Amino acid sequence: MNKLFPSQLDEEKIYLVVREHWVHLFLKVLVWVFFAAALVLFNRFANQYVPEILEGASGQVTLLFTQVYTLFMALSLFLIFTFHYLNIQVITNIRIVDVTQVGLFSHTVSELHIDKIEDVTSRTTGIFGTIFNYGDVYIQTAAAVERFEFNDVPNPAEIEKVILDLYEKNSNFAKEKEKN
Amino acid sequence: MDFSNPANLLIAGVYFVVTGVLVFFSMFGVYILIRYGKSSLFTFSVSIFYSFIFLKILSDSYTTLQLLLS
Repeated sequence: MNKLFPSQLDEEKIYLVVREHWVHLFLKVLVWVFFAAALVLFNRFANQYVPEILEGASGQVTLLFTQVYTLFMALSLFLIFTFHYLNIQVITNIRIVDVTQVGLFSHTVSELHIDKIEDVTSRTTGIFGTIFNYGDVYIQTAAAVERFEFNDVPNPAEIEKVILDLYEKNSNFAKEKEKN
Repeated sequence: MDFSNPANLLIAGVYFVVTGVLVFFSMFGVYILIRYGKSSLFTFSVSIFYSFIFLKILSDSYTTLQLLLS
């Protein structure tokens, strides 16, 4: 079985896997497109306006520069995708897991057991957040990590409801167990 | 490649430093995607596709460098 996080149990039921909303990915790709467009425009118009930099040895230097620039653009698009793909929040019947990849050399996995939850808040702000229905979810806990945050996730109210339902199910199960 | 000319040496030096850094970050990016992406078929496919594109451009740029410094 492919595990989403290292301590995942075989019998653990996964309710939600959440990533940053696609609008945020789109905005990052839009910035990338801006820099890619600069290269495309240069290739399209350099011949017309500055033909001297495309001739002889300077032409080869220009070609080398554009090829290295293309390498840089390919790497940046790959890293945008990688960071988007690896930053996930997982909600299971036992816990909430926040997997954070900040840069290439920092990978953090935080876990919060459902029974440690004290309060859940969802927040949608801004024009884009309201239109595309994304926002933040804050989970107040009794554990050492005081507040768990899911930033810019889709359907924050729905996520809040899932977490609270799981909390209630868990606490009802614990009460019944105490009675018996 | 002719390194007797200081300008050639400078161009080659800058090229190897810049592409060396890009190759290092690429390799590490592919490594973390496969490792933390739990070695799924999807992450393998993306990594192979990216590696192919990156190596193709790298090879083209090295050919350009050779022509420039010959």
